[in-house]
Amino acid sequence: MKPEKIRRILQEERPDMVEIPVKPPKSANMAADVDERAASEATWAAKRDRVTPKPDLTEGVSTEAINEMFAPRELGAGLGGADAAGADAPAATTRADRDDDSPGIVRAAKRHPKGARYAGDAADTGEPTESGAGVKDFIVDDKRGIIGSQG
Amino acid sequence: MEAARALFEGPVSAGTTGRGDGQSLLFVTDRARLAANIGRPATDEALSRIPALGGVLLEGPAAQLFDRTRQRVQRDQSIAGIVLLGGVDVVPSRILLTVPLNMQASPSVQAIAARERDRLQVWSDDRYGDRDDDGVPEIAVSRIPDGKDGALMLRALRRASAQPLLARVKGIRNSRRPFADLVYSKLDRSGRMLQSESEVAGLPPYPLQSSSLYVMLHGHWREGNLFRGEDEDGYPEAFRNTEIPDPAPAVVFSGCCYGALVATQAARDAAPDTVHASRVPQDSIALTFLARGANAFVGCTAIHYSPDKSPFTYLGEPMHRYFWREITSGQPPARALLNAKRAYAAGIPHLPDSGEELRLIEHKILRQFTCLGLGW
Repeated sequence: MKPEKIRRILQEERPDMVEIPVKPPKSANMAADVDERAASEATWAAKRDRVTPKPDLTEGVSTEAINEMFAPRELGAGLGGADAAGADAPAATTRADRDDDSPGIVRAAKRHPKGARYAGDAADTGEPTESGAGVKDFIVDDKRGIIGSQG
Repeated sequence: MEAARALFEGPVSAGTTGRGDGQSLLFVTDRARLAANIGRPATDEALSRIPALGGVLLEGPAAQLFDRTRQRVQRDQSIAGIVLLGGVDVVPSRILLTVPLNMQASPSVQAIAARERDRLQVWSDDRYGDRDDDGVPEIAVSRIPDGKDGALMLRALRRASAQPLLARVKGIRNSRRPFADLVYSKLDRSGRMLQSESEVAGLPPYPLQSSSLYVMLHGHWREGNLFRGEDEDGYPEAFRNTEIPDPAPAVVFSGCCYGALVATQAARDAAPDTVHASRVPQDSIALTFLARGANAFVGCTAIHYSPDKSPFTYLGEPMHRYFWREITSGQPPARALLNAKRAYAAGIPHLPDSGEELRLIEHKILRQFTCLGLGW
């Protein structure tokens, strides 16, 4: 997605925020400085089927009833996961025509006056800084708009 | 609905171990380092309580504990849970790059990891419970950080009280996290979450006395002693560690960034294979909850992401909902988290037709949630 579009979506949906330019390092250096790498979700899914079934510990209430209670229907939709509780929920609206194959991420901070009651997301000059507590990244999708945010 | 109503009238017991007959907890620590933090008498007292908790002790030099634990659980199938005793300076935690191996070669993924503020790296203890070394834990792992406070350690080494975990639930969220209301409504059908916005003069403190607490606020590793809300002007304080009641809720689930960070550093700033400093209750909401009697504080070791668009069933929400579902079904917190992780992993990505960013963030959410406290 083009940066201009990301900026426009941010301004439309979160006018209380101001974009902060990001200067990422030249390399993520992903191979170094970690103890281990993550397994795929497929490895997790395979393991889920092999574990010993958990006992139903709740007296008088079945696992099925609990799954029903915590199904995501009240939230509006089932969203393509493999969780059995949501398997029969209606499909969510999906985008048919994306102008890119990926959403973007934009970093932003509050447009707010300086004050001790608020997070340290602004330098003494009032200019936002990249790493303050009040700085948030937003995941922006070209058709849905802002779909998620830090915190 | 009748079943649900009956459920909240008290059949779920905090005293239920959920481990089954003949299964035990493996407590892991470096006795010398623990004693250096909390003193010899408190260490001896803590370790003497392990048999009464149905546990066995594995001790040794910190640098060897990971390998020794793996060897032990590989040959002992009776171990149902692992409890790490001490901060990350006593029992090392692991720095995990949460990008799945099959995505790491992608240039776009590397670019995302480079710009993400936590670099998609988290602290994780899950590998202690990975019996078959495939990167996925079979055994629930929890950690009681010592906080350089013997009283904290001794208090945390108690089972939760006999009161039902869900007898008196409370929740608090920031005003821009409406998805949390929908999770909370499954726990407390007649109540509503408190909102941390500066609409009422004199708040905080909020009333946090409860049997279980659900928290969806902003956190930051630089200010681990407080959580923040959000309003149109900024991020007002919601509450800080000094306002946590005693006794604290038995179970706390937090979707706050860095809420369960035990190390003083974020994972992205820490080097592997070195001794890392650990937090104390004065600089940690989580440790203060434990010091005041919480059985479990479940939360994040890096940056959390929340869904902003209806139907809100992606990013952090499924993990929250699955955890409370497991608690509702009677699972102890440590196992509830492991079961929630399994369910969450199977659903990635939880938002169809979404890009690599969302999938990467959901992998980070999967790995960063951890259980502090005994959890059983």
